[in-house]
Order: sequence, then structure tokens, then C-alpha cells
Amino acid sequence: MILLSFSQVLLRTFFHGGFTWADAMLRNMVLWVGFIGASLATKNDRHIEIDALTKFLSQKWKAAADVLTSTVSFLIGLVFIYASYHFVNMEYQSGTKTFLEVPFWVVQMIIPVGFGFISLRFLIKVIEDISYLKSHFGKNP
Amino acid sequence: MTPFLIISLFVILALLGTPLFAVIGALGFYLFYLVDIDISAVIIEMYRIASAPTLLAIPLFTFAGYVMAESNTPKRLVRVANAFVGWLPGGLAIVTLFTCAFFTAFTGASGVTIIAMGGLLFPILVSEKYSQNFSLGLVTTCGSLGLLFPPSLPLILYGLVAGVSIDQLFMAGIIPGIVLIIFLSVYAIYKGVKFQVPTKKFEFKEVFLSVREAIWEIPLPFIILGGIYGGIFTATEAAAVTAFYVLVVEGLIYRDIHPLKDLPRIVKESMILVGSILIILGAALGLTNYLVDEQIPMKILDMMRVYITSKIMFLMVLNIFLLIVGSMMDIFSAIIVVVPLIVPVAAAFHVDPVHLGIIFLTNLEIGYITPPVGINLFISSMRFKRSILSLYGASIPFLLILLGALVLITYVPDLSLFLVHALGLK
Repeated sequence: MILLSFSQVLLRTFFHGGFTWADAMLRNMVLWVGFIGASLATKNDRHIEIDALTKFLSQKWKAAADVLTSTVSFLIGLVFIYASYHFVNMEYQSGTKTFLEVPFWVVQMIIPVGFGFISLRFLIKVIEDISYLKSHFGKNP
Repeated sequence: MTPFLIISLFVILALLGTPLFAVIGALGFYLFYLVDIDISAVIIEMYRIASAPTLLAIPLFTFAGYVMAESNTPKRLVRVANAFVGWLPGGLAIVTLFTCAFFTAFTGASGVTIIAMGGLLFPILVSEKYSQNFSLGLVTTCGSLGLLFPPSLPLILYGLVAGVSIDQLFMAGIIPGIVLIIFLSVYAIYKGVKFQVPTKKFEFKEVFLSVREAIWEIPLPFIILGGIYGGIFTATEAAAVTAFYVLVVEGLIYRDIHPLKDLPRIVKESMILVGSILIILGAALGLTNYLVDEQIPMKILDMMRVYITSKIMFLMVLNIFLLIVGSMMDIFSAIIVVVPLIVPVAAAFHVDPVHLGIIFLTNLEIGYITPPVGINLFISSMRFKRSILSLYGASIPFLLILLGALVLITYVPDLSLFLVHALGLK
């Protein structure tokens, strides 16, 4: 957490620094902040959802819907990992560099890694949701 | 037929509460897969948007908004507003309108306003003899009031997605935003008279004291606007200045924010908001690109041309459509998903993209309190522990007033465009 707040402070400090590389670095930091934030959002169940239907479901069906949506999200997360791994791999092959001679693929690693964390969180949620469903509504939902 | 089935499946999953980024991303993957494009195209788009320079404004303004929400800013603002307009009949209700609008402009997210401002003001409203229903409707409505004022996040996001200058949008929102507040204020005065709420005397001393107490926060809007339109800095730089300024003011001058106890939590909260927006934005861009490549907006346009012949008719259909979208979807995802489809269609009907942005946001703002699923209704229902049905009832008068204002904003483009033209913004 301290590291995260530090990055926020960096965002501002370097803004006034006026180094030429700071701009590129800031942009990449937004990417990092975004992905770390997104995994936190998964952990805290704070992703933006529509869930218009669930408001009218009974507790039991809502719990069942949670299992379904977490499972689906987990699977989609896997696809995201695959796709982003593919993308970073391409950048790795081409060997282009961004600010301060840092290769692009290093900063972009956050994408597959971020999705990795997100998927992991969803997997944990699947397990939690199933056990909640079982403990509250018997064995056959 | 199969693609249609699969798309319906995704829609149902979304309605059941699957995170929107996953649904949108999956849809993007699927469609790219159908047309034989490597699915890492979705990720390329994601990376491209994440490195757009304007994007930096979003985490910085979010952070500033959260810092103010956690500090005693709401209390100080209420005091100032009360000193200025408290003497009017319905004064406290107007105070609520003003302060909530100011607050939402900075936080951009309606939930924060209802919880921070509503929680503070609702008990006072009730104790001053406003009816439960009126007070409840008021704080619920106020949750999204102020979205049109700079530097609100939805404005920035709209500019980003639609490719419209953020400087212009900031200016365009001011008059329509004031129109909304005036409409609601008139209603508040009417109610104030009806409930025979005792009015306070106007006191110069209290004005002076309250202003002195909030002396560091009052200049903020002027710093942002003056900085941007005085040509001193860009919107993104304004965000950096704001974040820094707010941190110094709340942390060092007022000492409301403890750097170790509060700051990590605030950083985390703002990162969560930023992350959840960014990931949808990224996922949606891949999908959007596909839709544009396949000329979907043009197809929609052709279809609409058959039935819709004039600009007025188009605007009417647009309003109805957006109200439905606004009541179903969160404002950020609505902007990301719907704007790219609508902008080219609207352009064909000669609707100015800046004006469109204001119409769009006003609609979504109203959608927040539209039954059956407007988000503010649910937030208020949880926060104030009232049944959702009582909130439907409480919000209806406000809904009607706002719809009236919406009509005005939609059919009088000059309300939005006057300041933009007057300042000669490009």
C-alpha cells in the first residue's frame, strides 16, 4: 500500500519535474495504477456491473447467479491472460524501447500479470460463492 | 443465428451482474475471433488508450475528489452556502443543491455524494421540518447533480471517447448545469414556503466567518477554470495541480487527512474507481473498433433514416433511449459503450458533438434517479434505510422537474454552446 501511495506522489512530483521521459513514464504509470486498481476492485467486489436483474431475484437465486458470474468472469480472465501474453510477447520479439531505455514489454507485463491477479481473485470468489450457496441453501441449489 | 444467440447470452450474463469489463471484453474477443483477427487486438487497444495523455486527468481528479470527501470539506461548504442563501425560504434545500453540485463536480461518482453530503444534510433537512419524502428525494437527486460542471469525470471521459475537446466541454456544461439547479431551487423555495420552514436572518458576520473558514477551498474552481481558460495549463495539468493543492490544503493546512491513517485508504479507494473505469474503457475500445470497422453506426443510421426524418425527432428518440440507458447502466460504462455508436449518427443529424455531450450527460444524470433501477435510488435506499418503493415515490417530483430542464437543454443548443462560442474556443 505504501508503494501505491508513493506512486501517486510520484505522479505529481514528476509532473512538475519537466523531464522529457516523465511524460511517457506517467502514461505508463496510469496503466499500472489502472491494473492494480482493477485487481483491487475484483477483491472488493467493486467492479462496475449492471446487475439489473439480480435486484429482483430471491436470495437463493442471487447466490446461484453469483456462482455463475464469478465462474464466467474467471474464464474470461483466462482468455485475457492469453491475449495479453500474446501481445507482450510480440513486443518482446520486436524489442522496442520506451522512456529511459526500458523495453516496452517490461512495462506492459502489468497487463498479463494484472489479469492474472484478477482471474485469481475471481477463482477465489467462485469458491467462496459456492460455499456460501451450499452453507445457506443446502446441497441442491 | 449463432452470433445472435451468443450475444444474447452475454447480455443476460451482464444483467445477472457479471462485471461489465469481462462481458465487453469477451464480446470483443468473440467478434474478433469471428472475423479472424488475432484476439490480442483487444489488448493493443487497451494499451493504446491507457497511454493517451488526457487519461492522466482521471486518477488525479478522482484522488482530489476522494480526499475532499474524506475531509471536513462538506461541513465547511454547507456552512458557507448556508450563510449566503440560508435566509431564502427553502434555504437549506438550496444549500443542499449547491453543495452537492460542487461536490459531485469533483468526485464524479454519485454514490460518494449521497453518502458524504446526503448523510450530513438529510438529518438537518428533516429537523428543519422538510417532509421526509421531500428530503429523501432531494438528497437522492442531488447525488448526480453537478455532473455537468467542470472538472467532472464523466465530462472528461466523454471528451476522451468522443474525441471532443475537454476545454470546450467544461465550458458547455456550465449554463445547463445552472439551469438544472435553478429549476430545482424554484421547487425548493415553493416547498419551503409550503412547509413553513422558519427562515434565518442574513448575517454579514456569519458570511465572513464561514468564508474565512473555507478560504482555502473556495478558490479551487477558480484555479481550475482560470488556469485552463487563462491558457496557463491544460486540463490534465489542472488535474495535477488540483490533486496537489487539495492534498496540501486538507493534509497540511486543515489537517483533516492524516498522511498515514487516511491517505493509504484514500489512495486505494481512488485506485479502485480508476481501475474499474480504465479496464472497461480498455475492453470496450477493442469492441468499438470492431463495430466501427464493420460500419455498425452507419447501419444504425440507415435503419433510423427510414423512420426518423428530422433533427428534432432524432433528439426525442435519443432522449428516450438515453434515459433507459442511464437507468440501467453506470454512467462511466454508458459513456464508453454508447458514445462511439451515437456520435457518428448524431453528426449525420447535425447535432454538435459538444452539445450532444451535454445532452448525453443530462440524460444519464436523470437516469440515475429513474425507477425501476436508477442507481441513486438503490444507494439512497441503503444509506437511509428506506424501502426502494418509498424512494420511487420521493424522487418522482424531482424527476419531472429535471425532465423539463432536459427538454430545454436538448432543444436549445445555445444554452450549451453560447459560452463555447463566446470564448472562441476551438
